[in-house]
Amino acid sequence: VAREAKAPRDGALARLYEAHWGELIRYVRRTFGLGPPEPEDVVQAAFTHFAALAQPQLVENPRAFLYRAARNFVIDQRRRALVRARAVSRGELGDFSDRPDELTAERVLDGKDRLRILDETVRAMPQRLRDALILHRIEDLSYVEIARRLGVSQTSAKRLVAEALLACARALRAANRED
Amino acid sequence: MKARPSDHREQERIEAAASEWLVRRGDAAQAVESNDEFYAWLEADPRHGEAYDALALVLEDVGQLRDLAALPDQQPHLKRRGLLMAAGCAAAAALLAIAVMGPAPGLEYATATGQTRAVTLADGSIVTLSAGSAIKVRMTGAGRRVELERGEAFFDVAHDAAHPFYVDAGVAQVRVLGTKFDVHRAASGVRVSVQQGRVEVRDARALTLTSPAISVLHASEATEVQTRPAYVAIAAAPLPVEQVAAAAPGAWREGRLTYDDVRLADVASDINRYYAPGVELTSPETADIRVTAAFRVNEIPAFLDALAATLPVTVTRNPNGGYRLAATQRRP
Repeated sequence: VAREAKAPRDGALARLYEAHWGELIRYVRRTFGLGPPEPEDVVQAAFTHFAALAQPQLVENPRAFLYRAARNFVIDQRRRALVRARAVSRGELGDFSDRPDELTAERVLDGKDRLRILDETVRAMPQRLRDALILHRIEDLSYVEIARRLGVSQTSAKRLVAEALLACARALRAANRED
Repeated sequence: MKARPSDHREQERIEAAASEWLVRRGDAAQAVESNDEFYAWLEADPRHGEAYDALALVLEDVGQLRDLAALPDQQPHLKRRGLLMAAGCAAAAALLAIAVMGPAPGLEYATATGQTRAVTLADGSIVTLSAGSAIKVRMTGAGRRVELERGEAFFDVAHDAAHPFYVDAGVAQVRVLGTKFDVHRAASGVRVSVQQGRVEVRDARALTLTSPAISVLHASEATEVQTRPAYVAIAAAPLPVEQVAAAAPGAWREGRLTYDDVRLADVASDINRYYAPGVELTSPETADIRVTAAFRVNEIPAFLDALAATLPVTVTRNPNGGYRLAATQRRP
C-alpha cells in the first residue's frame, strides 16, 4: 500500500480524508474485522484508488465510491489468497474494481438532507425499532444488552435493528426519487 | 436497466439480506463463525455489496444523530447536559447542571498541590488524580458520570456496556467506549489522550447534537477542545486528532510532565498544581510563548532555573522559592 499517497494532492482530497477516514475505518472493522489486511491499509488503498482516477471529479458520490473501493480491495485480497491456494486461475482477477459502473452518475442527496431525512424517519418509527437502533448505534450497546433492555431475545434484537435500517434505507430511496 | 416488478422484489430481498448481514457483522462473536458464508454472499452478486454499503452508510449516519440519544427513556442525560452547557458560560452552566441533577449526592475527591491519588470507584474503575485536581462521581442506574472539576485525571474504566461512562470537563464531554485515557482540564481548553481502547470526545457546547464536532479517539491519539471560541458553529469541523507516543497519556503518574509546542501558560498552570511556591507569568506575551519540554515533577525548580537558556524569558526566583517569568523584549 502506497503510504506516501496519504499526503493529499489537493484540497478536495484533503477534505475527503478529513470527512471520511474515520467512518471508513469503522466500516471496514465492522465488516471485515481487524484483518489482515488491516483496516488502515484497506482505507488507504481506497483513497489511493480514488486519487489515481483520471477524472475523480466525475465521481458523483465519493463517499459511496470509497466504501465500495474499500470493500472491493478486501475481497480482491482474499480472492488472490484463495486462488493461490486452489491453484486455479480464471483470468478474471484483474483490478476488477475498475468496473465501469463505478462512475455511473447516481443522484446524491446533500449530506444535510440525508441527516434530516434519517432523523425524521427514526423519530417516526415504531418505538421498538427506534429504541433498538438507538441503543445499537448511538449508545453502542451489545446485542446482549439491547435484548435485555427491550425484553426480547438477541435474535429479535438484531431483527429489530435490521428492520430499522431497512426503513431508513427505504426513506432515503424515496426521497432520492422525489428530487 | 428496466425496472420490472420482479426486479423490485429481488432488490427488496437483497436489501433484507444485506441488512441482516450488516447486523450480524456488528456482533463480533457471530462475525467470525460466519466469515466464509459472508464472503460467498458478497461475491455472489455485485448488487449484494452495493446494498450492504448503502445500509452501512445509513448506519454510520444514524450515529451522527446525537439528538436521538434523548429519545429512549434509558438515556436522558447526554442531551440535557449538552443543551445546558451550550446555554451560557461554563460557570453558570455548571451551577444549572447541579440544580438539574438534584440533590443526589455525588462523591467528591480532590488532591492538594503536589499530591496525587488513586481512587477506586464503586464499579471497579480506577481514577488517578493528578496534583491540584478534583472530581465528582455519580453512579446511577443509567450510567456512570465523573465530572473533572479542575486539573487532570487518568481513567482506567471497568468495562460495563450497560452503564456508559461519561467524563464531563467543562467544554469537553468524553463518552467512554473502552478503557484507559487521560483528561486534562486547563483554562485554555480540555485535552483528552487515549492509552488503550477508544473514547468519544465532543464539544459540550455544540448545540445541535448532529454537529460533527465529535471525534473518536483510539490508542495513542489525542485531541483538544479549546475554550475559545465560546460557541461552536453548527457545521463545526471535527475535533482534530493527533498522534501521541503510546506512553504519553497519563505519563504524569510516573512523575513525568511532557509538552509538545504548548503555551507557557499551560505549563505554568500544571507546575502550579505540583509546586507550592508557584510560578507567575508577568504578561500575556509571556503566557503565549510556545514550549516543548519534558521534566520530572521533582525537578521543577531546576527546569525553571534553566528556562532562560532556551526561551526568550527572564527568570526571577524569590526567597520563598516562587518564580516569576517575564518575556524579554524582542525587536520586531
